[in-house]
Amino acid sequence: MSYVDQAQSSYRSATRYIPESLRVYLPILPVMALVGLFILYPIAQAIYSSFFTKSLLAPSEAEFVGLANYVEIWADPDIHQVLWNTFVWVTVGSLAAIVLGFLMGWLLDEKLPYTSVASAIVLIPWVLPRVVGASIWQFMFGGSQGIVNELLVQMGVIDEYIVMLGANQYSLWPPIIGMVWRLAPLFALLTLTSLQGIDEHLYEAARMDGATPWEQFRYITIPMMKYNLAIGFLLMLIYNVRNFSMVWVMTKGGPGVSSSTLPVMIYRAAFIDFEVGFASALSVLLFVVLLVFSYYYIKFYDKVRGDM
Amino acid sequence: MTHLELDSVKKVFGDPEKEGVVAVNDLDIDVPDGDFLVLLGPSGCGKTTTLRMIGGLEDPTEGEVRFDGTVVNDVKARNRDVAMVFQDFALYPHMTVRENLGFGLRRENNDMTGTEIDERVTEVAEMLEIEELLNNKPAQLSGGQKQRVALGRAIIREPRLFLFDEPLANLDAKLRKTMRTEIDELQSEVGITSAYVTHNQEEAMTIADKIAILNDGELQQLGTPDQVFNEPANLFVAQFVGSPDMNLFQGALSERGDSYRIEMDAASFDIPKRLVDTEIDTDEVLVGFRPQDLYQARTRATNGPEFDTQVRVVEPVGTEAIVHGTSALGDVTAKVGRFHDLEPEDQMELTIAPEHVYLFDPTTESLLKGRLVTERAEGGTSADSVEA
Amino acid sequence: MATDNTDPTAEYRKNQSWLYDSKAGGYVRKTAIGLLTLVIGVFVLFPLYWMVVTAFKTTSEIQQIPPTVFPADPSLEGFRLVIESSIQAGGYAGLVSDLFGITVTSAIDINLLGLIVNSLKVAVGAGLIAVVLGTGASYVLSRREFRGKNLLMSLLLASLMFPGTAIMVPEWELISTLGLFNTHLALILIYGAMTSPFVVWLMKGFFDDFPDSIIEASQIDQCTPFETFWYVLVPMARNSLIASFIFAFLLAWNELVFALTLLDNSKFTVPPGLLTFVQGFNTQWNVVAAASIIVSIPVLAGLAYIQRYFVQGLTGGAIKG
Repeated sequence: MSYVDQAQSSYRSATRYIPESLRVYLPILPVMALVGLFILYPIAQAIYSSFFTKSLLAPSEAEFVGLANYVEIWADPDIHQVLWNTFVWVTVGSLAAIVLGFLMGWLLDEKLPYTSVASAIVLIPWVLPRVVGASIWQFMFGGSQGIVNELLVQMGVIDEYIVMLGANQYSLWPPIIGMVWRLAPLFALLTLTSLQGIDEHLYEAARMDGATPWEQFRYITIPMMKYNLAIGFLLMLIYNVRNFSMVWVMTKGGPGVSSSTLPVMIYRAAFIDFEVGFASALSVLLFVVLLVFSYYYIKFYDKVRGDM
Repeated sequence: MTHLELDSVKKVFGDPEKEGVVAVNDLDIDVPDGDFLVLLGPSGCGKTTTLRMIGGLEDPTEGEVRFDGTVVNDVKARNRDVAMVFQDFALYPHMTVRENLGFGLRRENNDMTGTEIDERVTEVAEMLEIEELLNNKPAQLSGGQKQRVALGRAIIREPRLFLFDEPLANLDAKLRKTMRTEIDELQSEVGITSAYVTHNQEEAMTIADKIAILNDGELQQLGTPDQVFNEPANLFVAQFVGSPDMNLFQGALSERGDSYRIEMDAASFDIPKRLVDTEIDTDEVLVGFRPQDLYQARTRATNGPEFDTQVRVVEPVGTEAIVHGTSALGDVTAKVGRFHDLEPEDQMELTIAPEHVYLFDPTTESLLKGRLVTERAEGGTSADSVEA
Repeated sequence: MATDNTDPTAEYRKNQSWLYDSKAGGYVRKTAIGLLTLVIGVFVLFPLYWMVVTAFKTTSEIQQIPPTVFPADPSLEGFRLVIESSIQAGGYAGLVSDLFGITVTSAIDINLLGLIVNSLKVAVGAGLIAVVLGTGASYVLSRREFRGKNLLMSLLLASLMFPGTAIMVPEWELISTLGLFNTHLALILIYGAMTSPFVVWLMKGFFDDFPDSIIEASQIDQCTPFETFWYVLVPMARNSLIASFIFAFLLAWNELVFALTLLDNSKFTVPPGLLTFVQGFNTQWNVVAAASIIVSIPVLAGLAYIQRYFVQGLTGGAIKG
């Protein structure tokens, strides 16, 4: 008896008492159990915890407080700055990544030689460990040795070195720039893949129909990849709104909360101030945003699958 | 209405200085206004490249493409006013049939208003009997319907030229025959000069005014379907055109009075000189018999060669059968009537009329004698009278 | 008819565009594309270049103002410090001095080797869990129809969106309740949960495209469904399986949030370890850069392999190459 037969017969004897109609779920069960326990259950747990005050140091001494944590969020002096920062991240950061990424993908598609090597190189910022990428940008923007300062001086934008990561009025932007650097390659690859997926004959048919290159782009390229672009756009939103490492490595959200986003505030609330209930309420806020994005992501996803 | 000319056109892919691949070499083709040209050849022979150069999708490396005497090498595809039907139809999947048909008209620099374009779309749709499909997307259409939309997209603009790139290859056998007839009718109706690429010789024979046969990027022959069948310029054309394949045997040739004497392994016969147009000065020839021209000697006598053949396989095709057999000359394929009493292992005697025999020069592979249609009745009767 | 007699093709030139049909337009296009490529190229590549040159600078050159664009005095000091520090922190200093007669004393404190070993443990564990569990599930999801299938698929897709910061607080509570705080097992399970939906989608894409005829042929050859899966599908899916594993491995290798919140310094994987070092006092950037390059090597090696599968895996197969 081979090991396959053994595996099969032990699988058979183990499942003998399970009705045929339910056996199909068995191979899915381990994945669902893992995902359910470590991803879906915590979501419910966070909603539950958001109605209690509890300390990270003594989680058993929880006290039910109803909506008090949510009221506290509303009253928090920092929340407006943090929400505004998060909004800037999601809008400006995503748009910049999309525009830059689309241009990169478009250039990679046919304008440049060695597409596959070039696209592998372009992807490096995305696959590099987050901390590594963020550290590079911190070093480039940071302190007295920052190359960005020197670059700006050389270009005549500023007269002398300025403090960027440690200054309230600037600290929001360097992490966003770092994040655009990390995300644009991803969008570029999505663009490249979508562009390459369009049948070359469609362009030829359009050329025979008298379409100029601009008209080919407008009437063939864009309509053919619009759902792919929508999916890419939502991915950018999702990655930006839940990003932690880029801000945390570069500025720790500071000075003050000048560069803090929602995830940074959650981390501070839970692991520095130990207020689990308050942090959970903030997490629920983040869920709602992610839920909306995910809803549209799945919707566009079904569109792509359905149409093709 | 366009007179299309290709003048010494050459296309090299890759670097012409180094290891460029010559796809088309020194091609001269002249298509008079309103003619239907078929580019025929095996895959990789350069026929599609030729079509794409006419359309402007590829630039010729050398030579000129002319429309009505005007060199259009530098005119881009979108300005050539040429329409093309693709093998995979290349319908715009995100547009409805109506939008697909109107796309070209909207791109054109014409004075048509939106309603005029709509009317024209409806008109063309009615002509092709697809008016009830106008609001569907291509994914909802069957193969034949897609084909009609693709045709509609081509004719709606009344272009200078129609180009067809194996338009029937993706259809099933029955539809292929119907659409073939439809394309033929449509083209005669609108009278627009057309170029049509196919690797299917039967399709080419039925639809073409003129066939250009290509091999390895070289033009083998440009002629009417009759010409390429009866007077193939060389061995390649003779073998490519016609089905089943031509039988070919070695033979020795000698002059004997006003005839040529052909000696083969198991048979020999005379061909009167009046049946041969060219002056033959070789001793060796390749002798070609088309399977359709072979008869069973018991049904019809000729004054050509007769040879015994042992039947291997009988493939009935309706009233006739294709018989594969072994003879002293070698393997033989014949298309014969009266096949019902034939079984494998049976012996039969095959014969062919001298005017139907093809002769080729074995070294240059060019044609020495083609198949004569007009002589057939005369030769047939005389043979009958002699033998009977 | 055309009025311009000098150009016989004038009548063909009705639908002209300056940008695409004139010489000047051509130059403008080429220049614009060239400039765009240059700007984007610099933006993408310069930080990478800066990491590499920084790693090869000496400690004193790092502190120069203005910074040097090329290392004036290329040196391996950064790499030497990383390795020495690892040897010392790992307790191998005595061994090395016995074997090679070199006394290792390090001025900095980063046990990169230890971090890498921890990360490898976690990443390989998570990768195996994700591939083994994910492949079985994806086969059923691809080949069978049953109630709730679409809901399950959507749930798996959505669960790709949430991990990280949104659930770090309840995850901490859960791990504490399970008594797994400060264990690598906790990370293996969480990373396995985060990446198995990924693997399900990637492998489902593979099984969806798998020709039915091959499966039918195996059935004609009297294979049971399990034998078909094991003898026919798995060998043919080898490349996709390897790609799935690498995906899961890379995610675990790069993940910061859970590693930071669920582990103590003693058990840190690479990302939180590197973070602690970066945020310490007097960060020695040449050492950081050297360490960064070392920990990025597996990522770059993996990238070469998974590039083809990247988009498909990332978007759950919505966008295919």
